[in-house]
Formats: sequence, C-alpha cells, structure tokens
Amino acid sequence: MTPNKINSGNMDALREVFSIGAGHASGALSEMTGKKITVAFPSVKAYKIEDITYLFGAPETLVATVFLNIDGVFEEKKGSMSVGNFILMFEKDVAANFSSLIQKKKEVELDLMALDSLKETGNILSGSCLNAISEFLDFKLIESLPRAKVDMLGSTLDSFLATFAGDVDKVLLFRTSFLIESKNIESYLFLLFDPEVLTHIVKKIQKIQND
Amino acid sequence: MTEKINVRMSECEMASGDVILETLGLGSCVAICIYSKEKKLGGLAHIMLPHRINYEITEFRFADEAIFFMLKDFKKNGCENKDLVAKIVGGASMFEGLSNHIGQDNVETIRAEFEKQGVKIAAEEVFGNHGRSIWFDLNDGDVVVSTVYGATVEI
Repeated sequence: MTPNKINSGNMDALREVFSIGAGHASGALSEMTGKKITVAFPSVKAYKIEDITYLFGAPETLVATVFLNIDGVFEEKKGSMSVGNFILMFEKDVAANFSSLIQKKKEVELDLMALDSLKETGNILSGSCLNAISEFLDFKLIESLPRAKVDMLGSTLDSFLATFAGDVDKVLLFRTSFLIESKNIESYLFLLFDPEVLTHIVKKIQKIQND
Repeated sequence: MTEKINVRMSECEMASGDVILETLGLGSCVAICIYSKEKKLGGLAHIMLPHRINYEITEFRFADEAIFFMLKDFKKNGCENKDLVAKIVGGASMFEGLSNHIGQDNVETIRAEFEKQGVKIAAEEVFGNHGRSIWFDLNDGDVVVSTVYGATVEI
C-alpha cells in the first residue's frame, strides 16, 4: 500500500496507535533516567524518501543511532516477516551526555560502554513501544537485537531508506522526540514500516474499529 | 573563485571548469564520478540502488540510469567513452551483521555497467562499514574522500 492510498481516517488511526507506543516508550525512558520527559506530538506522515534525512539535520551531522529490525507475524502470511525498523537517534554530543546520565558517570566519551548503554536504551524503548502496539493491534511484533553506530546522519539512514526506494516514492514516517529538559537531551524515535505491511496494519485497525 | 555544487541523494550534476562537486554522508549509496580531462568536464551522481524496477518512481535513484544519462551528456559534449575516467565511492554496509547487500550490489552493478560501456574505473573507495563524503574537483578530476573514522584520502 502506498502512502497516498491511505485515507485520512486511517492516518488518524495509525497516529493513535503510534501515540500509544510513543507514550509507553517515554514512560520507560522516564523510569530509566528518573527524569521528567517532554514528548513531542507523535506524527505520522508520508515523506519523499529523499527528504527524510533533512527532517533530522544536514547529511553530514554526526549522530549516534540505535536501530532494531522489526519482524511481524500475520495471519495472512505464514511465519514471520521483516516489517520495518525501529530507530532511536541522538546528535553525537547529546548521546554522550545521555549515556553519562544513565551510567551515572561524569565521563562524556562515546566509547563502547556508552554505545552499549544506548543499545540497552533502544532495547527498552522499542520493547515498550512495540509491545503496546502489538497488544493494541493483536498481532506479534518481534524486535531483533539492537545495533548501534556513530556516523554521519545521511550515511546512517541511506541503507534503511534504500530498502524502500526501489518500490515507492514516499514512505510513511512515524516520528516523535523525547526531551529531558533538565539536561537538554533530545532523542528522536522513529519507525519505518514496509509499505505492504501497512496494508495489514490498516486492515487490522479497521477491524478493531468495526468490532 | 571555485564554485561548489552540492549534490543530494538521487541527484546528478554535470559541470565544467573551476567547480567542485560535493556529496555528503554516503552510506550504502554510491557517488559515481565521471571525468573528461581534456574538457575539464565532470559528472557526479549520488545513487541509492542498482536498477529501476518500478517505472512510477519519479526520482533519479538508480545507478544504471545515472550512468546512461551522464554518458549521453558527455557524448553531446564531444567526449567518447574511452576518453573518460570514472571513480566510485561508497557502497558501505553500515550496520554489521545486517543482511543488507545494497552497497555491494550498487558497486558491482556500476563496475559491470562501466565495463560494458568501455569506461575505465580509475579509482575506488568502496565497501567497509563507515560513511563517506566526497569533493570532486573538476580542475584535475581528483576526488577527496573523508570519513568520520580514519584519514582523508585523495583518489
């Protein structure tokens, strides 16, 4: 299903589902850090693949990224299939500050230990976000082990985007951001779903709405 | 003064003279540089995938098309394929252990395409697991490649 075939009612429903996931993730983040979290409005919108990088910054911006591959189990299909990506991203210096906050350390070097703490954060946030979505939609979303990387924004995102670039002009981007105000730490959370999988999700939402 | 032209993902630029073509933040994407030393004419494409499969896509994302159109432009400017040199940069596999062959497929397709067209590949900075930015100087055809990790190189 290409994004322009999703009507506005379905978009609202997708946003609603994503809000539930984002809410749970921010709750988990608040619990981890012991800080108050400000959550940006969870947005669901179709973007041209080439424009997505620029929503977060210039392509050469240094970022620390944690990503998990999402697998889903659908009634219509046998077994599980890859359905998309869960991505948590910080600007590089912010990532170091965040890591020192959760490791309760003063150091701000983005070393292997810091990357591990980011992976762990990605794991916890994706778990709470995807569990909430799974429960609401009553199907299974399974996340892979987290992977982390510090590199340029454009370089980090292009292989995710390329996965969809052969089939569609635009993709639906689910995104929000979390701000730990007292520390001025902002992180971006976003989900990219395989366009075909969105068909299943929308069907499921319609079924829930009709019941 | 040297003019700098930024080439974004899925874009392709041709220029000549005192110009630097730059493209930033390549991961699995590949920068295809083609140069005519005689005419000081250069083309840079920032491609995402090897081949077009869906004809409804409007963007300039594909290696085979980018090479086709650039070579056509060189021909229009009186350059034969055998007089051109190509340099390619990118095609990384950014996340270890991810079964994602996009970078490798991109590079292999580009190599095969240039071989078919009789264009020599003079240099490559490809694969690995880190991002790259490039500056392609049309004064001499040199390409400067920088990464977040390791030294900046000129190819």
